[in-house]
Amino acid sequence: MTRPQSERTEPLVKVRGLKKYFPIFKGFFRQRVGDVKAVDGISFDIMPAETVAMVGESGCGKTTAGRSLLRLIEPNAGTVHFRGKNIPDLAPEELRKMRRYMQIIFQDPYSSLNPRQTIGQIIGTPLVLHGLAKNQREAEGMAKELLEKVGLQARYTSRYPHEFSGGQRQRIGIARAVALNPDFIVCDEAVSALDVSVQAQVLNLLLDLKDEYNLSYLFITHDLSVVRHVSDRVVVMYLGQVAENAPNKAIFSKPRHPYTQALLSAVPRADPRRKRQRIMLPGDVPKPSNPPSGCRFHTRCPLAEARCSQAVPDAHEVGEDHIVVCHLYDGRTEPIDVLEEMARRKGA
Amino acid sequence: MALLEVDNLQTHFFTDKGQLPSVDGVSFEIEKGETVGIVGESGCGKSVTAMSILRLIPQPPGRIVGGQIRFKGRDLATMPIDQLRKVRGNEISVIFQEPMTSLNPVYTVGDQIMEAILLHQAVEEEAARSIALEMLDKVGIPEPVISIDKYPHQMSGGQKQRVMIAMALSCQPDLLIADEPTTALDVTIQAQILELIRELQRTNDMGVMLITHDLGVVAESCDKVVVLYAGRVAETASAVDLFDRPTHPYTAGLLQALPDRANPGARLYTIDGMVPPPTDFPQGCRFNNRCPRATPECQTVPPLHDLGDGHKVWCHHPLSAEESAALSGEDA
Amino acid sequence: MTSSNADTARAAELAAEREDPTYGEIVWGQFTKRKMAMASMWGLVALLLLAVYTPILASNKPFIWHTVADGWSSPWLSSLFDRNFYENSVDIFFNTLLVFGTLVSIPVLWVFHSTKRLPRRDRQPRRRRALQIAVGVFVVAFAGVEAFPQQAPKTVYPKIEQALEAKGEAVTAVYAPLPYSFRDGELTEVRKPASVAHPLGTDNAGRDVLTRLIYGTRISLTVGVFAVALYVTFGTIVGAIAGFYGGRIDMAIQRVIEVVICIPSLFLILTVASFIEERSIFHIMVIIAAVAWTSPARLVRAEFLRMRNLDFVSAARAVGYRERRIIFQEILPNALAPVLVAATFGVARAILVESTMSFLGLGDITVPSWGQILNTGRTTGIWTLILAPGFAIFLTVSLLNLVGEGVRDALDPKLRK
Repeated sequence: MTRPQSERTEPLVKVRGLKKYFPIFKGFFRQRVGDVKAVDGISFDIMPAETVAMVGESGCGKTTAGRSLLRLIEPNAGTVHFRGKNIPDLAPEELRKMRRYMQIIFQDPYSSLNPRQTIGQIIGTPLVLHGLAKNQREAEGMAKELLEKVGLQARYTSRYPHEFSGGQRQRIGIARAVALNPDFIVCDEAVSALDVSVQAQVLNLLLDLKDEYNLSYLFITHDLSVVRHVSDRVVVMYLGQVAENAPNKAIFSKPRHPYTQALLSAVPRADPRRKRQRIMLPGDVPKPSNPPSGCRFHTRCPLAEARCSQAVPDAHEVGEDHIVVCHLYDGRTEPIDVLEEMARRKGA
Repeated sequence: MALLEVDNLQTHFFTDKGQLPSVDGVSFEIEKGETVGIVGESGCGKSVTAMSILRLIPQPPGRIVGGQIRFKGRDLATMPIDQLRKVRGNEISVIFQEPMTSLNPVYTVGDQIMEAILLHQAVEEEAARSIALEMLDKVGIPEPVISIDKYPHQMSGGQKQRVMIAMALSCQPDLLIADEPTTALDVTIQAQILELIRELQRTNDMGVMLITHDLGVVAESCDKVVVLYAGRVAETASAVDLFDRPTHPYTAGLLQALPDRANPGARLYTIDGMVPPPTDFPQGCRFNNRCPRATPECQTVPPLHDLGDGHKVWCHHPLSAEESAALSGEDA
Repeated sequence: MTSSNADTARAAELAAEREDPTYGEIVWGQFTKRKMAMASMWGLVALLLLAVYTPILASNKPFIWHTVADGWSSPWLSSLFDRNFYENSVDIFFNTLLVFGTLVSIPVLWVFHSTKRLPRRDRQPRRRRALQIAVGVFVVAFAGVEAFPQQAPKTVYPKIEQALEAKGEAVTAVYAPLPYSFRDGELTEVRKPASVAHPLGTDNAGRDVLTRLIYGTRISLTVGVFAVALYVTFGTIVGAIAGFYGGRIDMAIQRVIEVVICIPSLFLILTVASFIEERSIFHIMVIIAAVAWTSPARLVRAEFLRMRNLDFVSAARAVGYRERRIIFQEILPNALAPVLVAATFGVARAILVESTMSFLGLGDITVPSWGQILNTGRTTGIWTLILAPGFAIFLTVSLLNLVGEGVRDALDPKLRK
């Protein structure tokens, strides 16, 4: 699947200002009293054959963002440019046809497959629907090939999901996603529910398929070690907004945003000798229904200043393809080490 | 004498699929003030081991069929139930994985903490309440005087887990069993909770049994590690030794499969096959159908190799010092 | 490769091709392990067979009739579709089952037996085709019988026989074990007590009670099954729409359900029934259905609410399935378990409602339903007319309840044996 030269630098998916609010109803007459601003204006690009990881903790909106992108949830605002069209604007029939090029793999292997259908039906019926197979029989044949591709046996097409383990079901989910030969796949915590050894197998499979089909992934996860391993680019989210967006190497070697640094320092590493000082964030993640004013992170940020609670920070470019949404980087590109800065401020 | 000595514990489940040997000969020790991590993948028996200590396994279909659990010299496995109840919550406490469901939604947080205190200590309600306030403060709940009367649904996941810890530690137990205490929590909250457990352990000189599947947590929080596979111990060692010199092929395989220790973008090492279900455990060494080093000898139960310094491995073909050093040497 | 090698290879291949049981097969397996439920099911099967083959047990038309004047004939056979004798469509339906159903079931059973060994992929379509043809033949036959009603002159064969014998002519007549009509009685046989000829005696119109009781099985089963089929279908669709779409549609439907539930159903049924002059059991079925549909609607709605956020539904949407497909083919098959249980109990309930209505004099008086017999017993004071149908209702309802419990347990994954 080669692309012409002119397309090589064009993003495959361009997300601008994506918003999703969930209304809160209270009272006897169910008045709308406010909104849970799950995704509050995020923008990023996904290049062809690129894995973009979207990380953050609960309430950051990454899962909602992934689903809004695909219009599995209807976004309230924003544009998603893909294959020359704006996804939120598409009419239902056009959207349906577009779906084959953007697929999704789910987190929970136990609820992502219809228990009443055979594996052959789960993988094969979409093929018939989109005209990639003429009838169910041909679709079943293609399903068998796909199963072998993901490391399962072809004869599993006549079986039912309950007979398989979590890892195997994830593979079936991957086969389903890949069956329609999409351009990009949203992996919504696709390996989070798996054991270490199974996770390794599935990650390898995803990487192999990416090479073979020239896929892009939007890898939504909270597991930073997986992110470091598979991603080309990382988008860090906090409370519905982008905090930092940078290539993999930059995020892990020279993170800018204080939240990114805190996140990285909180992750336990599999190395007992590694004694490091942790950045401890106080308190809990605020509720998305009532986000803090100004920069949403200011209530927990160890480096918060006066302006942080007053004004929403801009996106500052601090390197090649590296943006940070933080007041501290207004006019500054060099990273500020949080622990050093905390010590310096204490001393001063 | 160690604080807790688990000696060849066997907990089996009697189901219509047969007798499932979920825990089949697990032995380890926990000293005072030591944190021991019980680590393994799904189905290895780590939760069943933890629940067996206080005999919290549902009686049908589970039962402790063998072994001893010596706590301060007394065997918990055969202790009469009324005596065991005095131990529960008092000398040994448990915190569970899901803070959402381990707190009773119809009682306030304060009531639940005080319940344990009133049950085990000879104190009045007033005194119990002030102990509860103290505990809430110790675990870092903001404004304890207000929070003590809150209901669980009014608190976040991290706060609920802190309440659980407060409950568990209210009677100053000698041993804390923590069953995946941070798996359901965000990573920054996880850091807080683990730090909290560490602190409280230091002040009370408590033993901690930490059950987890996350090797990163083990590396950072545990003094000693017990690796379980299919109901048996594969290897046990100090944390440093385990990560530096993994001797059991399963341990080595697990460590190699971690994205954390691999080169970014490279293929991850994988262990062939899948974890067997308890209905299908292989004969002899339970890892024999997936192990790259397996030989026909592995059809028999593997022997114990004591490598000194508390490092023990149950295997016919453990890795040599050079082989395991080569593995960890890759990680710069 | 020698043939034995080929065999073993093929056997190994077949063994490897082991098929998973479908959900239906698992549930059936669980059901068969429960003895009470199985025994009750066979009891219901026996009742069904009784209902279908009733005319073989009780009819005053002889199987074989021979006189010098008429020659050989089978009045019984020709009476089956005679609208003057069997006036009600229910009887015609069952008689069609008796004749065509029996004929058609032989090849169907043969197909089922011969396809037993085949893999599911080949087995299912063949069996489905056989059933489709069988049902098709039956529907055509029934339509034909209804469209071209036969009307024969009324001949009461036992009387003719008596008359001819009195004259001394040779008559050969072979009757069913209970050679009585279920509607017309002998005024000479009024209020006879139980005897060998009339095992349960006769009623105030001279009709044999046992005969009427057996014919009543047809009515009860029909009312039960059809009413339930009607309201379960309607309720399921309404519940699915409410549960799937949520929001305003759900709220509107829920309010309607709440209003319907508030109405005391039995009183409503009785009131509506009293307004209809010539009540037929079809009226009764519709009335029962009109009030009972809310129960499956709520059950299905609950299942849909639970399932519409599950990942496999999102996956279906992500792959581009239309909403109707998602509702009916993705979610609905998963939502039917509680409906199945409710339906089984619903049949029992429907039979009881119909019996109550008839007992109170608001049923269809032209049919020998059990409630109708009870009503006659009440007004005439004849004991057997109360005890016999009472026992029949008790038996049928108990069997249905036991089967319903068996189905409920079989569907519960926590009660797997």
